[in-house]
Amino acid sequence: MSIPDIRTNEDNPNPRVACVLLLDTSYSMSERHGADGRVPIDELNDGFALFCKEVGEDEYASKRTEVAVVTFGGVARVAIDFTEGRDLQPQRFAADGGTPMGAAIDIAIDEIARQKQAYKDAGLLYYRPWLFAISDGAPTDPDAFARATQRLRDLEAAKGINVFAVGVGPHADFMQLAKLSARRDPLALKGLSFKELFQWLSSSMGAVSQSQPPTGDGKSEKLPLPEPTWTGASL
Amino acid sequence: MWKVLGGSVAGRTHLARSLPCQDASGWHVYGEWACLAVADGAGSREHSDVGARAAVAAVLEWAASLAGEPQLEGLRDAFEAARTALQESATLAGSQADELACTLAVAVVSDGALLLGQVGDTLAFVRDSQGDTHTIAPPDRAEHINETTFLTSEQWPDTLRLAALNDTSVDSIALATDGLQLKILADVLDSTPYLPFFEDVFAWASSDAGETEGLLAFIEQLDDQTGDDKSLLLAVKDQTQRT
Repeated sequence: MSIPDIRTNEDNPNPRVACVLLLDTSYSMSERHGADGRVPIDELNDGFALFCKEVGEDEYASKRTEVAVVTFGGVARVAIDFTEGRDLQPQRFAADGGTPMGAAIDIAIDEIARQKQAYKDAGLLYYRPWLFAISDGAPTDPDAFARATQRLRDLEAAKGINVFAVGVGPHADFMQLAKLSARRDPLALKGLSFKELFQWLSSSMGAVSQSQPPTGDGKSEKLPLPEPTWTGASL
Repeated sequence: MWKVLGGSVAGRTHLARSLPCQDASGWHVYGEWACLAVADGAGSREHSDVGARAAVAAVLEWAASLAGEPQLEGLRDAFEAARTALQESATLAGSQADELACTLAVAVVSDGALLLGQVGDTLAFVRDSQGDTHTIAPPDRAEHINETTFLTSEQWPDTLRLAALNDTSVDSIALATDGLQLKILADVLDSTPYLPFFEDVFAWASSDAGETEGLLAFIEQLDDQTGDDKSLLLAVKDQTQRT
């Protein structure tokens, strides 16, 4: 038996996955933690740098993942526009001001909608986008937060997005973080294990950018994700 | 007479994660007509490999039970039989039918007609005697790759895509699961066939060299860009036995 010589299409582009990181850069992120006095924003910045490196090195995530970063510290803004994994460059975020998480969620939803349209215009197939939010406090824009989280849950119910919310430190408001998703409970970061968190996130991006997204019409969706060592709970 | 070949192979990511092949396929030739089925078990469901195999087996049992060639409306019975099989397998496994979710494509080919039914993002192609290949009843593009409606969905009757070609000019057909889509489609958004692939694969299948083992070896080594399981069934009119 020999393998037949059959031509196949080698020009179809790889499918994409868009991921928005929603990072709390409010003032409290600069306050020292615990006995060893580590500073959350420093740990977050180190973790994000590691994430950029690992996504850039992953065979699949480097070419298929596009990451944007929205920060909320004083103001909510796009800190990094959607960038392919292989071109993603670390940036050190400064901690300052309040926690306008509602405004940040709105921006993230708009960015994802724009990115989906860009995929459609380019004829690209894409996996369900991710929104990954990290906060150490409670939103300081409650009205905007109520509207934005409703919008987010509607999008989630329409299977338009995968949402993850992570709380950091003793003042993270898990009641509020729970409003980001009707499907997944918010997770507590163990101490300041941002490195483990971002390593897990880059591995997960590698996994979902190959195959096996959550599919279909059922209640029992499962994502093919590595074990999260950075939290006590399981996904 | 029809010559049928092909099957299913596990994808790269399934092998890497020690997942079973969640695609299944099978066929039977009944003299002048043949029945082909492919199913793709949902990647996110616990027992979808069992579901895909049960669905294909149920379709072939349905075909074997028929007195003669089926008619288009009769194809619904094949899908009902497959749904019943999913429910029974789920009960046996102490599980929910939803955990066995899969897509399903069924083709019945005879001398003068092709009947086709599909639920989910399966792909079906026919070539006529002029040598033109077309996609038949392509799936509606779900927004995200690898997300679709499954046979276990309550909405399945609304998404069942039935097609009948009542002419004698069909000389080859192909059924595939979505794992091969980036390799065999020219345009993934409107599901148009990549013609060089079909020209080559149908010519090879019709030749003496064309057999299942070679086709499986071919799709196994193919980098499909997604790592998904891959299924391909081919039916070609066997010209040598038509004299």
